[in-house]
Amino acid sequence: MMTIRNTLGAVMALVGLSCFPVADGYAMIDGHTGAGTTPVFNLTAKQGRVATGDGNSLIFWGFADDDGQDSSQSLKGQVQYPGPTLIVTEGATVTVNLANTLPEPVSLVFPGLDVLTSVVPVFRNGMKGRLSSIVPEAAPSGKQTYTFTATRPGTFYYQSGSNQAVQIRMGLFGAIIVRPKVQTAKTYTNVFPNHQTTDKTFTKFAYNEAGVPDQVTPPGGTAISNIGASTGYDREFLYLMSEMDPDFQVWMELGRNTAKSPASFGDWIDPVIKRDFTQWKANYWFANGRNAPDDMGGAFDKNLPNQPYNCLPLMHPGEMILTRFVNMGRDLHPLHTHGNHQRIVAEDGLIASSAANPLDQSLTTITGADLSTEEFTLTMAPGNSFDSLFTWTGKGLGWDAYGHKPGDPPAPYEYLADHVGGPASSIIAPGPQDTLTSKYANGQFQPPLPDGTPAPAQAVPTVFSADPLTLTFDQWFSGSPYLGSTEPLPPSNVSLNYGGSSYYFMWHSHAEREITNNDVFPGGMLTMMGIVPASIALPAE
Amino acid sequence: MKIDVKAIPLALALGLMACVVPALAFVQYGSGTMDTRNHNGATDGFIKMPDGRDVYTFGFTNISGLIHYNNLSTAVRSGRAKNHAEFPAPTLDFKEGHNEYLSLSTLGMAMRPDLFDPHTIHFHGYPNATPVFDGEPMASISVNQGADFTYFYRLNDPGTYIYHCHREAPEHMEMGMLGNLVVRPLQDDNRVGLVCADGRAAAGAGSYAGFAYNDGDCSTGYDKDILIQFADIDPAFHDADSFAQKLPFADFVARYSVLNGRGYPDTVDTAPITNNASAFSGLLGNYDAQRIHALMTINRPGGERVLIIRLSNLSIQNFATIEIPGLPVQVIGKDAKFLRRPNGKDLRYYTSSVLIGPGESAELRIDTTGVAAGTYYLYSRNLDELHADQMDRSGAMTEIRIN
Repeated sequence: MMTIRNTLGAVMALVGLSCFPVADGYAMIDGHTGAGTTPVFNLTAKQGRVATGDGNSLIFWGFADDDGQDSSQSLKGQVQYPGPTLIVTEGATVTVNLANTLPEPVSLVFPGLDVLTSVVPVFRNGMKGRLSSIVPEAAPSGKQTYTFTATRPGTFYYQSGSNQAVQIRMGLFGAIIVRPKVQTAKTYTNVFPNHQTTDKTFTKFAYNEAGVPDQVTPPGGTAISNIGASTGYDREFLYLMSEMDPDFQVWMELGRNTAKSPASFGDWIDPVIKRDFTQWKANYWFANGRNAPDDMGGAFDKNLPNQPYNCLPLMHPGEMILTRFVNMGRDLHPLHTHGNHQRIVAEDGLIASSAANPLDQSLTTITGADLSTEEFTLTMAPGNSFDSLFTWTGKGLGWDAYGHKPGDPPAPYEYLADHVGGPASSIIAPGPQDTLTSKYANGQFQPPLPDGTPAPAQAVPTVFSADPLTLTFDQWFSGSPYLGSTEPLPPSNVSLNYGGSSYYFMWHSHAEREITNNDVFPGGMLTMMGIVPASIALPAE
Repeated sequence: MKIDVKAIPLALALGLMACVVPALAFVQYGSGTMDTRNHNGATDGFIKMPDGRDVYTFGFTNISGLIHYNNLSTAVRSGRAKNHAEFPAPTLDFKEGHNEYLSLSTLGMAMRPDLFDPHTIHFHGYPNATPVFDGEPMASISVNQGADFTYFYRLNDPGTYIYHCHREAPEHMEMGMLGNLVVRPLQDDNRVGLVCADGRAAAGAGSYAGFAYNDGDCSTGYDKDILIQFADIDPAFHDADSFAQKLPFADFVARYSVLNGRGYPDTVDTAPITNNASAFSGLLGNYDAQRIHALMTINRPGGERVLIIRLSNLSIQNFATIEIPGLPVQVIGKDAKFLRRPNGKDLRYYTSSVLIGPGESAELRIDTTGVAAGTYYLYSRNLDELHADQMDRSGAMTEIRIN
């Protein structure tokens, strides 16, 4: 049945797409997918420059993908911060060929993965016998090959195994994603009880879960959905966190060659500002290699040639989104998700399972992530990775967040008790209203409906006056309290809202100093996660 | 036509007020039995550190129940509200099932009359939030100086939360716009059919005073609970804000670490701490800016046995490893979620220390049965958080007194 509403939705979808051209990297993880069971990646360590959110430009060392990546906009051989995201399938035997154009030896380690290359440290006479690398290295202008087996699915990373205090600070790292072998569609029933849509069918999973039961019965209780053990998802995103001390980066660029002991790689003794490693202090914080607000631009932006990845999750209500967190920095980072809790299903590539041996896929395939925990702030230690699931339906608000009028059908995944006319839909009291101005005393107002009749009381009295004397509107706000609605914005207000009627929630480091760019707010580890009305299309994964 | 206010006789003015006030009085949302209301003002003030230093702050103050004149700012009319910022902010103590109407009025700043920053209230951790009531300004609205706004929260999920202003969050949070927020479970008031697994009476004499969650078996019961919030202060940052200077985020150094806005030994002083605000401006009088202590007492002869500490961290930079030696500490909840999975798997654990990061909360349950009477300590094991600037034996430390 094609209703007026559906037609409107189709038009909205077209408008959304045409007004907001969807570049690569919205609603997906960019990277290089290694096909088959023996993928080969060719990486070259190079020097490049990152542009920071406040307009600074700092040198970094990173990896270039000599073969290019999945995106057609990817440039072969372009060094990038962070390194290319390598995506492989469980069971694959992965080869990484490393070439080194940097002035000191570089190597690769793959924490958590089953590395086949023999792990032999390298000591060099030219460095007075000091440790050069903890694994076989590629000397300057040299090459080295590494092989590992992706035994288990999960989120991992690679990083330099040479002079790490310098080289990891300089950016020699990247993410590795191992997808599970089994990606057979699986339906969980009654995931969202008393919602317009109750079931979830997944075709993509972070971990194998073919044997996970649909329902679970708590002790002494009645059966409920076992979604809490699932790792199924609709969309996935990467949050690779890192940070820089600009003084260190500048010294690496300008001061290192004149330092008092050029032969001793790794010493940071700055004679001008009297700094050394003990005083290293981050003042730039990055998500996928960009500071806010740059992280919310498109992927493969030509203006950020060495920072191809963005960080801008978008989802529809009721979708399950998988976020793969990797902390490549030196500091702990507390990541706060506005909007809802996230459920942490794995840490360091290991599923949160009650199985006797969580390394055994035949066991975790049945338990799933049954020990996952829900958190509103996730602490990531240096070197940690986490897999997290997040969803949002607006359940339990006590008002219809979709802004329905009486007679409107519920939106997909809407909580029915909150739907207009539902038992919990009119909890919020409209309170007294000035009949002349339609304005409530706190600055909110609700104009009559277009046909002149008073707006129904169960609709929240929160259609806002765009009165800049009372309230400040910011760029990600649609002007309306309702998902899927747009209200006038103040003059000259720039809107960054996808389709003009989406909800946004800030996902950011709650160590609030980390959402600045070297004294400038906003910046740093800050992104705006968008919940886009179902009527506006999002790019397919 | 211009009205000369001074020319209006006092009696007439009072008469007009009497007529006008009922119409203009702050909108009385929610008169139902499940409706609750609170009203915060956002303004500035001073707090006194353990070494005697007064630090300039932004903050909230409780103006619930004060007559409100819309858009004329409560500040002007109620002398006790403006420039009386508290640190931490007034505790918001909610109950599951209630509908909270939380109003915010921005009252202006004594030391920074030039600063027209709006403010917001962010209910940190509220599940299935909407931007309009989330208080995160980039995705919604914030409340300009002299304006008012009412947030609405239907309270569905018990637990320990936090709240803070999210406008230019690094600055406004460092300046002190932080507070404790708790949602108490339905099980507190409705204990029909409840059976305690530990054999205590579920209701009436000898029963627990309350619970952290709807556990069904009293495993989150307590005789006493306390909200303790870690934060820290860089006085140079506050001075820079006071004198309208560039804010040193890059050079930020926390010199004071506090629990509920106080460093030890102020944490165990149950009286409010009076600041010395009058030294900074003739507009200001001294007032009690730090009203919430962090002293815990368990009176076992009086029947108390179990303590629950609702811990949170709102530092803008630092993690804290909160250590409690000598007592059996059980972590029962994290980020307002009971540590029990839907399949009944028990994720609670015993420990002597808890790492808590900025923006996190946790519930710690301490059963004092069999514990020797005495004074026990709760403190940050991070040694740079155990001093007040140059004064040692201070910082993020408080006492648990068990008799």
